[in-house]
Amino acid sequence: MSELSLRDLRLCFEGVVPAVVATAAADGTPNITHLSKVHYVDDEHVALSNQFFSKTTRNLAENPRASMMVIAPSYEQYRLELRYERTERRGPVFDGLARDVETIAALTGMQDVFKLRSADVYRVVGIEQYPPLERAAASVQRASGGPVALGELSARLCRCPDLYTLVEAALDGLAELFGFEHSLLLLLDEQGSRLYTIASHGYAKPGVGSEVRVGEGIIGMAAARCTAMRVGNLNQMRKYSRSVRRAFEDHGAIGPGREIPLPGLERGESQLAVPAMVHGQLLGVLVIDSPQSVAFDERDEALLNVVAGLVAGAIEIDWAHERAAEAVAAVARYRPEPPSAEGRATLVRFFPADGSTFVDMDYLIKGVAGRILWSLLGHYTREGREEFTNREVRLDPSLELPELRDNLESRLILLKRRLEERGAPIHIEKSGRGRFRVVVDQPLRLEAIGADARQT
Amino acid sequence: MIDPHTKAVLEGGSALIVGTVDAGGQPHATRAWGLEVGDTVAGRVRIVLPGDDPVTVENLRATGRLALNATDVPTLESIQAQGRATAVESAVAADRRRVARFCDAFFGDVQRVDGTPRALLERLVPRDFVVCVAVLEEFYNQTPGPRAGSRMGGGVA
Repeated sequence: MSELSLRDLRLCFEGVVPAVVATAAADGTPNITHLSKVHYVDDEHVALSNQFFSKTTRNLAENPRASMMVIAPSYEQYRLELRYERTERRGPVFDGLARDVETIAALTGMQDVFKLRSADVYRVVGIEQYPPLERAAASVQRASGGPVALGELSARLCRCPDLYTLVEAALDGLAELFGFEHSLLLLLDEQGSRLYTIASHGYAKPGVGSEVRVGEGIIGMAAARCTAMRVGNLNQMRKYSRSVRRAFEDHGAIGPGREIPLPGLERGESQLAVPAMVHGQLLGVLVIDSPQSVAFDERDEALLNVVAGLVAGAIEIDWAHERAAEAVAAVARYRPEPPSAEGRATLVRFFPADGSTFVDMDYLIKGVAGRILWSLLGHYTREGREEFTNREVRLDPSLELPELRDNLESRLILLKRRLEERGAPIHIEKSGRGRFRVVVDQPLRLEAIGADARQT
Repeated sequence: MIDPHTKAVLEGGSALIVGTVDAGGQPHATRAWGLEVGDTVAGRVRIVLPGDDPVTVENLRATGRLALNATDVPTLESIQAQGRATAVESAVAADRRRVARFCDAFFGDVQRVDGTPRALLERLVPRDFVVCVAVLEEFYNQTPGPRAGSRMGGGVA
């Protein structure tokens, strides 16, 4: 092997620029094709996923020699001389390739279409750089970080008095201490089927309340697998995925598809999503994004895993404290004056079918958080109640919260953030452990629409 | 026979890659930097190849076998042609102009679709060129998906 090693070329294997492979049949007929990604196996081997390029596979059965061109994100190009060695249908190499294939599929909801048949492993017998150029540094650039920064972030999180402050401190800290300017924290819903965004940092639209199905996209895959998902070539993955979907649609194999809108940067190139877990249970997913390709590496993954663990632990502790405090929380407080009928009233519309709630015709929120708001405002307008305990909300049968794990605290935070984002005249303020207050700036008119609707 | 759509894909700034093979069956991959269809009925084309890639030139002279893939950057529509080299020639001024037009089209698409700056893409361009005159005989759909590898109507056996 030449003085270049596969390790030197590792950024070529992130799939930012498609690779090329040439093979030849036994009769000397050459074949050439693009590859979306080549996988680094070890210092002597690479692997290719076998899904569609059957001619390449057939050629290799007759003639094990191949020529490959790979390109780094900095556009240095290398030609590799390969010998086909073996095909794997299980094991860590296969699993790594399968994860990539599933991730691409998850971007366009084609999990049933994209199937890895096998992982073909090649020995690399020669490497040359072509054209010969000065090579760029082969490492991911980052703003700052390290154990000292991690210690500082941990200390900041430990000082947070409540969950609301904590999620903000976590995302602010990722930007300030590590240079991760775009981040999201999503929590798992009560049914375990969706993730909802509870906080974000560095996006044009905050996206609080946006949802991701478990299993969809990079974030949903991280939740489904309870493992970190790191990609540095989102643009190429989207392009490849769209192309395959179109080909299947033209073939009549599947119906017209949809690209799944997911929270994140509009033209993000890199995304790292890690599960936030505690006691073996998934609580949510912590995500960082970048417009740069191959922006994150295994060190970032390790770091984010630690931060996600800290956040998950803190959420769990907060949840336990809230539950304990509910037992001794004071009784509800009432507004001194009855609601005024004068002045402009804010219209709150509620759709019981899915909990969708609109404030002055603007969409606010749906689902559990929408139902909570509707219930609170009902008490507020009917009885003049301002102060509530988490416990009584938790026991409200109209909310149908699960008994074991209801995410009430995080739903209240989500609601509070959405009300703030929309500039609504309704505010939720924490008034102590296990209790909170509803503050309303102007008269309300409540209107429920649809089946089982009740007008207030 | 090269149909009008195939001609447009081959000449229109698609990513062009070429596979050749030596007498011992060792394949070799390279990039092409422009293509002109000279005769659609006979399938005759003029392919601009790197002049500083001696293996490609030796293979074309030794076996003449070649595979050419053209992939449209925005859609990844991909066509593979297989054929034979009939001559390898020095590039002339018209070929260099073709390279310049090809780079404008190809790099323009990559820049628009992937956001890659042209200065980076220029790093791939060889310093010198040769031209392979070839006859393309068979065409295959190579767009990723269920029809990848299927023979296209425009080809001749």
